[in-house]
Amino acid sequence: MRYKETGQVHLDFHGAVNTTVEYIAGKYGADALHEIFFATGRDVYKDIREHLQKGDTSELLNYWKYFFDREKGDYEIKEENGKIVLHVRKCPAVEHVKKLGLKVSPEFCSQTTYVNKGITDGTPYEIETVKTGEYSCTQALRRRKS
Amino acid sequence: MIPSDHFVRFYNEVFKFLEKRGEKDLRDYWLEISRHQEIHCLELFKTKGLKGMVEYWTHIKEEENCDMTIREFDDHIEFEMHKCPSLSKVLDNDASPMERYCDHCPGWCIPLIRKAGFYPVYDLISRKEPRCRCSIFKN
Repeated sequence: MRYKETGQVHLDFHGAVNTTVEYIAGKYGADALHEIFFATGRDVYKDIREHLQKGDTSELLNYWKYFFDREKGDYEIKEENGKIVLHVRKCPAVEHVKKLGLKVSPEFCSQTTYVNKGITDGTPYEIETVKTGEYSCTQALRRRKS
Repeated sequence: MIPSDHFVRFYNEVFKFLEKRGEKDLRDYWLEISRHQEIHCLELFKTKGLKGMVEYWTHIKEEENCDMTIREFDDHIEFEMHKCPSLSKVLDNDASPMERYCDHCPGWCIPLIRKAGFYPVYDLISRKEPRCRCSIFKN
């Protein structure tokens, strides 16, 4: 895996993401924020994207497992009707922002939607990201319809 | 979810976006971070002074896995960052680093420390090496 951090987990960074999201969306608009998240997905996660381009989903699945385990998220990954679906039952990012006493930005979860769009850009895959509750979402990885 | 471990790589993308908008946009953002950090630090720095700063950055050193030496003297303190985890991650990145990434640190710290009544002096050494020094004086 390209980035495999060890050592202490500094969950307060989720608070910093929330603050940044509020600032960028408030000053430049939601589209600007989505552009930054998309670039993060496409460029920072280039290695995962290149694996997907070759039809290899293993790096993305390893990434999901490693970081949701590391942050003690409540999640499950299942194969369903030709799709690989990440069910996030309790998102550690949302949970920690609330623990910090911050109001979760209405744009906070767009990080997942647009990073996923960036990761799959130019690949045969797409990820359908659906928020299903305050702490929960599904991220369904499937081949694009040709 | 962007993992908390990857926050600085996202931060790097935010800085690149702001830099394209202009210098003022970048500086305004650093000041916004500074104002936000006041919630955690200003009272501590005002009431405990240099001891409060040592307390805050000792906590950060552990939480953020910093290889850093903190030295205390009667009239000032010194931080010597041997390996900054933030710039290290930005350099270990498939996305290009923002060339002035390091500048955000004095960009938010200096206004906050000055507001608490102290005088910081930064030596970034090099923006391509994850090390720097900062001394903070009482007067």
